[in-house]
Amino acid sequence: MTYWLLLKTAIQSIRLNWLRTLLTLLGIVIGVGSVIAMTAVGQGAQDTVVARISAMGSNLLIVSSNSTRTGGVSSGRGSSSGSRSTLSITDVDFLRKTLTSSSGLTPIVNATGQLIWGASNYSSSVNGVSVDYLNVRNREIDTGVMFSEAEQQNRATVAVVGQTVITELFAGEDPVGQQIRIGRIPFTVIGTLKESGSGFGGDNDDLVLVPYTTAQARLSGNQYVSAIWIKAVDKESMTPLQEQLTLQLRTAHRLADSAEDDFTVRNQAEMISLVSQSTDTFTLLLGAIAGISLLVGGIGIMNMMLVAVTERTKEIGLRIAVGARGSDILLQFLAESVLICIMGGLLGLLFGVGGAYVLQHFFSVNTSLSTNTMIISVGFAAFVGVAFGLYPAYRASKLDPIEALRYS
Amino acid sequence: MSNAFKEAAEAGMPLLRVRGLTKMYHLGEDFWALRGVDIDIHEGELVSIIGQSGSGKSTLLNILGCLDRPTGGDYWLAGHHINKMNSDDLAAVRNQVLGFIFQSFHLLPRLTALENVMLPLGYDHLRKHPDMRAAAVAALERTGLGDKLNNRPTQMSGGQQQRVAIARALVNKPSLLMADEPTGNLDSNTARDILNLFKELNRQGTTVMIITHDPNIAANTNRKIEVRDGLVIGDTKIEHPGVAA
Ligand SMILES: Nc1ncnc2c1ncn2[C@@H]1O[C@H](COP(=O)(O)OP(=O)(O)O)[C@@H](O)[C@H]1O
Ligand SMILES: [Mg+2]
Repeated sequence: MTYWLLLKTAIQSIRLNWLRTLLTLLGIVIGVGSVIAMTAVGQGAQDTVVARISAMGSNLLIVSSNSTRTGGVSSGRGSSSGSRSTLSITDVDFLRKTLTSSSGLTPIVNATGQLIWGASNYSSSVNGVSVDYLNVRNREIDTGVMFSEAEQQNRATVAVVGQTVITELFAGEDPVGQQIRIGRIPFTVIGTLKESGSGFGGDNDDLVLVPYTTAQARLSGNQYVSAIWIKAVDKESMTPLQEQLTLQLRTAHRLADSAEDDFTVRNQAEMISLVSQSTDTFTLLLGAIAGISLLVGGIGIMNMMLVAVTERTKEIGLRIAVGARGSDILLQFLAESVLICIMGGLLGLLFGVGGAYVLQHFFSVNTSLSTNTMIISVGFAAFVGVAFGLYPAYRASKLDPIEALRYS
Repeated sequence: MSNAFKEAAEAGMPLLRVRGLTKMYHLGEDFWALRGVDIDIHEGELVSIIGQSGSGKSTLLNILGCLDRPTGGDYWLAGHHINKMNSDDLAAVRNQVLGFIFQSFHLLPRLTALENVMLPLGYDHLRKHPDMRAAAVAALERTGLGDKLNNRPTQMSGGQQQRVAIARALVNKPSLLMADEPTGNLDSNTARDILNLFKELNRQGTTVMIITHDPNIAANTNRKIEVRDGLVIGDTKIEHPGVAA
């Protein structure tokens, strides 16, 4: 039989039992649809997190103190109110001098504080940083300027504010040149940061930057820093830099060989791969659950095909009598089950893509559709058609023509 | 198809030859439905096989029609040793050498007359049929149904249905038509028409073998082979076959 004839015969049989076929098909539709929608959700979640990590900057190493217990360590916050940090400004100066392949370095001195401007006040996170901050964190100045080396050395009371602070504290007015107070200390706003969007560890625009020297002298009152952010020159140098950094800090902290690090170094690339790995597992799990429903759908197909073979026993006998080979009969039924499964797969594709669209646009779940998943899941549906159609088709092909013709 | 089928026909062989053909069924105990049948059928013959119900006619025809395998004995068709063939070869023989006609027509109800007749062409793995439709139309015209191409079996009388079935048997231009009680389900007028159709096809050169328990039908053929209890008990040439009336 030619493929065209096989297809035609399969379509004829399907049309004859379209309702039954449609109901059986639902299993495959739901299977394929949920595989596609689920993996889109999983992938979307991964993309979101990776984008947030990437938004922190590029090729970053983040050193944080091991003894901090409060706040999000990875965001570089939270030493001022907790126990003492093991990192101090000495470490920063030391690293700045010794690290060879870093292209920028900034301490983060955390001083979450109340901002006051005229009659309005607002609580934001105040970060004491170095002039390198913009380079390290991939941030840009919107209006005004960043504080200078000189201002950093002189512990100038100047501040650069993020967009959220502008709306919340200044009610949208241009803050450059305005006098504000952080706690009890007056500062002059000299610049604003361009919007960065929601990032890892919260709103990246809800912050105030001041020179770390000023932050230590006027706000925190001690030499400690809660984190040090270091930018490697390129991706390749991240690991060597991390090793060098660890070694230098251990020496600086005079740690014995047997002692554990009293600091943690996070590698941005590792964070991304870690997140990717865990969300990949999550995606795989979702996909597997959905895949099981595809298998259940396959069992439905097998059941229907077995019924179809029994119903069409006489037809099979006649086809054999007029010269069909066993393989012709086998292919005929296989073509039918595969066609049904492909139809289910394509319908499922429609529902999966539609479902992802609805989640994205009406439930603000970030989704990311993958062409590979679509091809694989529809292909898998076709495979289910073969796998579960094979036994019924084989049974049909082995029928005895005389008994089959006598069947009523 | 294997070499067995492609070999040139053995010289001097009749179109069909069986020797010592036996068939045993297991029904609790062994039951011999055929107990050593010898038959030769030559090209151009119009043969009837007659016998009472249960005498083994259908058993014999199923074997001759390559739908069943004998328990013992030898079978040559168009010079090919059927016993040696595998199932794909047998399918090809059914498809191209034989045309089988059943008592109850066995048309596929969801197909039109034309589609039913085209069915065997789709299973022809050896020859190309560039225009299946034209071949099927021609076959239906030969059986007098050129105007019922798109009717479904349920929209046709028994006689018309049997004509579709005969057209289906003819469409691949077989060497031998085999009919198992082809008029058994038809009234006597229709039966006569169908019988005349067979005679006409035979006059045009097709070898025809009809199974019947009706002596009147047998009297209309050129040769009558009588079967009883699984044995051939008579084989007579009919010099002046009656005109089906
Ligand atoms: N599949 C079968 N299994 C067992 N016995 C069978 C089978 N087919 C036919 N027979 C027996 O073989 C004998 C011949 O049957 P059959 O060839 O159908 O006779 P006819 O066609 O002449 O009426 C009968 O006694 C019948 O019961
Ligand atoms: Mg019979």
